[in-house]
Amino acid sequence: MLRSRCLSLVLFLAATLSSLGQEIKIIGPSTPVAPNDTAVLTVIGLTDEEIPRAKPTSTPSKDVQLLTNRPWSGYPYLTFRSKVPGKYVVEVTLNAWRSNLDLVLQDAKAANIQTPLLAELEALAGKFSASYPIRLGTCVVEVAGVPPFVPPDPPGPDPPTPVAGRKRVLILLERGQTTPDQARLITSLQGGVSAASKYLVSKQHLLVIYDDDHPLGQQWIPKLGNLQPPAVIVQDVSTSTVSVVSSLPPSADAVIELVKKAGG
Amino acid sequence: MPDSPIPIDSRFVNVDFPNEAKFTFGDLGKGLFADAPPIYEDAVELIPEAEWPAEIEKLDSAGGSLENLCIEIFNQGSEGSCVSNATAQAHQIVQAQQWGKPNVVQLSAINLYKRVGRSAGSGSMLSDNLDEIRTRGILPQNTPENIARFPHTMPATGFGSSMPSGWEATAGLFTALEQFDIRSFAGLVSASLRGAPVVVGRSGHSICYVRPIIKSGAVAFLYANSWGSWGQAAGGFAAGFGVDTGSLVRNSAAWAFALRSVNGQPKVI
Repeated sequence: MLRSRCLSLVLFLAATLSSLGQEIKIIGPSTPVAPNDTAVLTVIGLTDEEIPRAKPTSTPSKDVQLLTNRPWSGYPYLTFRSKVPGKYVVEVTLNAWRSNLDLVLQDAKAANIQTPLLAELEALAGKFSASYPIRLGTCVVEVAGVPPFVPPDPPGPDPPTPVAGRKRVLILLERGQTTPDQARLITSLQGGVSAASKYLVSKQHLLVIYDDDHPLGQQWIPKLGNLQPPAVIVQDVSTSTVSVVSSLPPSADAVIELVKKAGG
Repeated sequence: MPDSPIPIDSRFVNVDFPNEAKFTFGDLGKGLFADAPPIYEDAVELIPEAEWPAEIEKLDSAGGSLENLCIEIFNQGSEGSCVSNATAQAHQIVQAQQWGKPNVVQLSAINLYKRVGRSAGSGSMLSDNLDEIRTRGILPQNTPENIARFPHTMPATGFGSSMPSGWEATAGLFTALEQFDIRSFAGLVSASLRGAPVVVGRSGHSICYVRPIIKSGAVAFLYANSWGSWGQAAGGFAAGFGVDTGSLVRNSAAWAFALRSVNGQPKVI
């Protein structure tokens, strides 16, 4: 019985060792992003079991927002945002060896396995943990240089004072129930043909359509308060101030009016 | 019903593709979906036929529809990869809807075709293309920008080109998330009016329907082809589009799927 347990332990250990070689890759933008733009960094090479234990970091980390996202299909990804120009090293680290081996050894101790083999395994753990300390994926995100960031004045009474500048315009809706009017509105805003679309391009505003049940869309649901999708949120890119939250208006021109109302 | 006020080049209306000897076909029909996507007519409320003319007129007034979201006209060259090209076009259109044309990542149709075609000219089935793009995705095209961003890319054409080792990791970033199997003419019109690009097959060739129009008092469709400079102007392109009417559209409705949402890699959001 004891020999059988030890054999299982060794086999599990061998399987754990064989999974150590998978490389972690982070795919991010190849060109600089603007301050306060949200860059999408996809992480490849983690198993479902490993994802919760992987640690994302940014160096430097001051003024950086680094969020983890796990979509219902496809790869996990990070969203990175910083308002300070510079180069940021984003890393995802996973101490796969130590964690898996520690679990094995804990199980062995819990099962009261006391053999010379266990002692050997513990020694082996120490040795290999030095050889395979972590798995690491790295990506450099460059935030383009712009004039130094000037903090906005403290927000005034409701409603907040619109801040002039680039806006992030988010439209949240359930795409499975897109109406013809909404479809035309989206095409009109993204197509580059209408006056509304040309206005967005001329001002370098960002327009993103999120499904309300997509992880990226769900992050914005709390901003809606009592509103239900379809809705539009206008956020200032440089200060991250949300200045407009509204039901989705009936036309592209009306969306632009909201953007202008927010200072865009 | 007045005709849609878009310039239509009669040379590219109701083209019977097999008579276009210069070009290669490759649609082998619909086939069987391995894990059947929802049937559009069951999943989404159809738009009543009486409302079609008014909705199409609104598209006309808005200056068009999905043709304005195309960022390129595909060119399959002498390969039978039309279904893969139409599928890649549909994916790119949905990317443009979701986060704008500047964020669209151009895709490699040959990466998809190499998994569903037996040879350069064999052609492929709609079902195989849809199954592949929703389960394993599609690689970016080997543009300079994509090469800088992604570890795996492939050219637009070239059945003989090799799949890069580990390509699945990058292709998995570009899957289709929501798609529908279209079974009827009413489903085809409704899906298109609700903003979905529709990949159809007919006459041995596959194309991407981008919008309904009115022609000669009936509903017709403008489509993006994958024959490079073939076709009429639309969506800011000097060529690349054609028009189907009548029975051709109804044939297409029997071999069709719509894409609703996709995964992708926008540079910024």
